[in-house]
Amino acid sequence: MSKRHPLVLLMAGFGYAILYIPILIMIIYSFNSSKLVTVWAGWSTKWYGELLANGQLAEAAWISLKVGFWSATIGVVFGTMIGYALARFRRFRGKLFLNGMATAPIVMPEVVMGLSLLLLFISLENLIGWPAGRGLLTVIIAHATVGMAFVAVVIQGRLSESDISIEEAAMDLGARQPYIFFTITLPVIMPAIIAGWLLAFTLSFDDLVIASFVSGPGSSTLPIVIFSKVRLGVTPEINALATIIVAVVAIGVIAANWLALRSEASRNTDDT
Amino acid sequence: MADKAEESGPKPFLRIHNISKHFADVRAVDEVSLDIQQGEFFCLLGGSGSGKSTLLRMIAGLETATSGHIEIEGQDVTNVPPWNRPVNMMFQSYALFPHMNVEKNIAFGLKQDNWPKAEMDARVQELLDLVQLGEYGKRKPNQLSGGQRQRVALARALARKPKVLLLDEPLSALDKKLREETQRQLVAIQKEIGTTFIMVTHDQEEAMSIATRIGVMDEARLIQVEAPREMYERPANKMIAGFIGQVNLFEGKVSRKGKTQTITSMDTGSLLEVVDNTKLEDGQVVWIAVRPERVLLKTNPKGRAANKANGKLTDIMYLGGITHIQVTLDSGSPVRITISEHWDEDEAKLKLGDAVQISFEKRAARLLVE
Repeated sequence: MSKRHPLVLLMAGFGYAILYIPILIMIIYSFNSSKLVTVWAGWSTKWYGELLANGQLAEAAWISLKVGFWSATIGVVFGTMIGYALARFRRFRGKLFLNGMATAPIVMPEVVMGLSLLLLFISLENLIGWPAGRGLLTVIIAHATVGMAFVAVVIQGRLSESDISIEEAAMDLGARQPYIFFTITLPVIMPAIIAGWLLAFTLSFDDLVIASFVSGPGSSTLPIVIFSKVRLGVTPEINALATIIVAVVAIGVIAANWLALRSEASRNTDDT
Repeated sequence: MADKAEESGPKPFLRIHNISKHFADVRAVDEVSLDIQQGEFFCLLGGSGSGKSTLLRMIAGLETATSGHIEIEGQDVTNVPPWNRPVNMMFQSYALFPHMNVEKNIAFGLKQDNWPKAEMDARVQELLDLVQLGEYGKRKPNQLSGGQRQRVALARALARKPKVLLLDEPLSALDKKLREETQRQLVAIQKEIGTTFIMVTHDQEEAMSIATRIGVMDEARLIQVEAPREMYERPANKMIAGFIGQVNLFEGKVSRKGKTQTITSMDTGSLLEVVDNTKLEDGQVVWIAVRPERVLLKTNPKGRAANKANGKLTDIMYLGGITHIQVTLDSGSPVRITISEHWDEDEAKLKLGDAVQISFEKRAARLLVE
């Protein structure tokens, strides 16, 4: 279509308006100087200042960053292993079953994931005394489990599109596993790994439901703290914090998309 | 023929003995035996699913044989893993490492063999010169054209000085003009370095123009192994006769009286004579294959004799150097004729629908029993 129909523009505009106007309003109100969230009283950045001074929120943000970083990293390691096995191994008994199992956490209700992980941690503690109580570690493990499933799907997709013969060529030229994996396969799927990491990080950073099941004292993530604060009424501070989160998430999504596009572009030139 | 591989003689360079590969219930390669001599440019020719690529991959060690064995210079390599075999392979997709530049791609195999840095650099340069890519060492694969990538893949596969180089449809991704040019380069390079090449292709013209010998595969079996000229002149069966070049097939029935046997054809309505002493059964159905360029055309049909038939001119396709003619015989069978000389005046007056006579010498005919 060389000429866009005005209706198409209208529909697109309407769709994006529904998505982004609420966020835009929240961003604008985060610069409100009034203490009342719904009353506009001029521009100010004071809530950002108060936000930085608020130790509880800053601490929660730091916890969320730590949880996000470690759970994404662990999730990427295991997710890559699963994705590689599912994409590369010839048919083995139970491959289809395993494939479904690996992706199930994606569609599983978070309440179910959270509850089952909580029960697992409790029984583990009773049985072997580890992990001792709920805290940072349990949140990281829980988030890594979910992140892993997403990473596995991303990696499997990338690998099944890529040419298996480059690994055979390496073998033919005298190389062996695991050397081939680290020098040939890993560099080729690196954009997918980074995209998977960013995805897992974002999921962990956003998560409220699973974290509230498996967190303990001293491991309240940012969404938990925000949620508990909002229950006592929304303050302009929260607007400022949400704006920062929007900015961070937007950067993450843009980076992941950019990486995906770049790897696709290099793949397309490979084929010509 | 395939069973010639069993003959004794000078020890073959590469011996494939009774090799089979089964995938679940599918026989991809079925009891293939083949001897290849040092310095040959051997082409495995066949359609898709004929098993030619699987055979090549078994030589490379990328597939394990279900039964049979492979020897290189008398050494049994059937169970040697691919990284330890003295063969290298050039892949259909080229399989260049996208994250490494041309030099690193070529040096990859040398690095595995722990070549000293100085020798490795010299070898890479030597190979870049061989494939005429001297300037392109620092480029990444996606900065090269299809033809250049093809040459990098060749250089990389040759780097470790393999005893046998395997090429899996190496030219299929190139356009026609570049492909013909690359065929010549490939032959020149093979002559220069003297390495044994085994190439898989589905393109019979490519095999004819490149190979010292051709092995035709069909339905997992090796049907015939022969030099291109012999393969064209003496195809083993109808399938090969039609696969290698074009052919006219006349069906005939054998009748035997004592020591003399005659073949009568329904297609030509006459006797068929060939130079062939094969003993045939009475009533057996055989085929006589005649190449289009060996069929003669006469403008005044008269008389009936062996290897002659009357018909009508149904198609003329003038291509300049050669002319393709189709004659439909009185029996209804079409016959293709290729004429490469200039037409004389009588022939030039020919038009569609004219009555003509076709004939062929008995030396031009080949008897096929299957």
